[in-house]
Amino acid sequence: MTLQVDIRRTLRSPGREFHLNVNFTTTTPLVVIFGHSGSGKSVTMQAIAGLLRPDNGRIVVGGDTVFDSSQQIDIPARRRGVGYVFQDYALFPHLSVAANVAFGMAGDARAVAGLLRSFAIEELADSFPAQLSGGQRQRVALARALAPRPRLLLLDEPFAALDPLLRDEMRVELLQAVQVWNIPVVIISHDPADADFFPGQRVTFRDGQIEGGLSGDG
Amino acid sequence: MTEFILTTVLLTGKIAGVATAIALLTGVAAAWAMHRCEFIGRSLVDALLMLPMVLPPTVLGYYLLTALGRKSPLGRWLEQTLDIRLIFTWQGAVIAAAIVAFPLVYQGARAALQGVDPQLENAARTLGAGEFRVFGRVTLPLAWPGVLAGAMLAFARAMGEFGATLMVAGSLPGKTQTLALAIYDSVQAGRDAEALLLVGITSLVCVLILVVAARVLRTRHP
Repeated sequence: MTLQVDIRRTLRSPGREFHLNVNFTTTTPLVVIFGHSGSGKSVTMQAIAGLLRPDNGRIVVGGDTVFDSSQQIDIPARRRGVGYVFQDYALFPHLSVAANVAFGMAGDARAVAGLLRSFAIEELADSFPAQLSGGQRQRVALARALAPRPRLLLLDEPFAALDPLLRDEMRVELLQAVQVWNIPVVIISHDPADADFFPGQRVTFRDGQIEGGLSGDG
Repeated sequence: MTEFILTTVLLTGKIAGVATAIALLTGVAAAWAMHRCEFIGRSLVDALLMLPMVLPPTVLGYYLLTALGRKSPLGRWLEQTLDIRLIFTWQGAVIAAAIVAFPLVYQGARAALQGVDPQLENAARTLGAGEFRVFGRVTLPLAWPGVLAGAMLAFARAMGEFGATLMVAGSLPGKTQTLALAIYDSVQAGRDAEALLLVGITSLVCVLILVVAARVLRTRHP
């Protein structure tokens, strides 16, 4: 599956104007978008997921055009089939772990239980997000995002909220999950360790643009 | 006297309860619409929705009489087509109380909706939820303490409504005379013991509402 992104968007805040102008096509199932914070990574991810509308351009996910300003195509986020793991995980604080994971799932309680088991969080089913550790939260967020069986998974700084020791462990865990689920993944990160750890293509962002073309073993 | 007081308390509960229910539904709907929609003149609409809170109740009563009375097209249509009379009826008192109480629900709901992390709503969208499901399963449950506290203050305000109610519904004992109106009546007629009892009941209910509302606002999810 390839992801084609060719978008422009200007963001204005008092005293600052940010121009995003990026164009890239993925060549490997796992892609790391690397860059400093404020380089436009998150804005791009939100545009892919349908949470933010580019001023113009085109986004194609696995052959389906989900956004095209010239054809007035803008599929809403709920129908894009793009899973999203937010930087702070954005777990619903008023719902239990099981209810969080079941939120986007069509299946029954047994399907939810099976999913919880595969992420080793079945004993947390009745806990609430505030009671979980960082690593547990990430597992719940990952299970919840994968539950509706998306065709592409986006992870926004998945390890930034974790302490350094846990990061190495969770990188291995994430890579395993991605391989087990066989799902294309885009990870954004400002941490060179992530870019070093994950195989595949690397896209480097700087000031809203892509730096030095594409690199990696694609 | 006890029968009169019981009737008045029940009537007040009925009028304030129905008025609060109306204010709750319309206030939350208006707050959601204002929260989600960007349009020109939004701050003007916001100000208009808050107007019943600052406008003298008699001015509201005047507007309502003009809008719903026999001389108005709306009032005539309601009476002739639907056989609904709002002037000098308890339903009229409900309308007056609901309008006066509306800004309290609206304001509480507005602040509570703004306090919900937009990222949580976005997470629900990426999980396939449409806007109504996002509101029903994420936004409203998270905003609920603020909405509920607003509704409780609205009930207290509706219960104490005097000016607009008097103009629209009058002060008919057992029909439209609520606690606030009955107190005025008792004092005017020199029935001091009755006035004292009515004042005591009203104060007690209001203090109770404020205490519970403050507790509701402090509620946090586990």
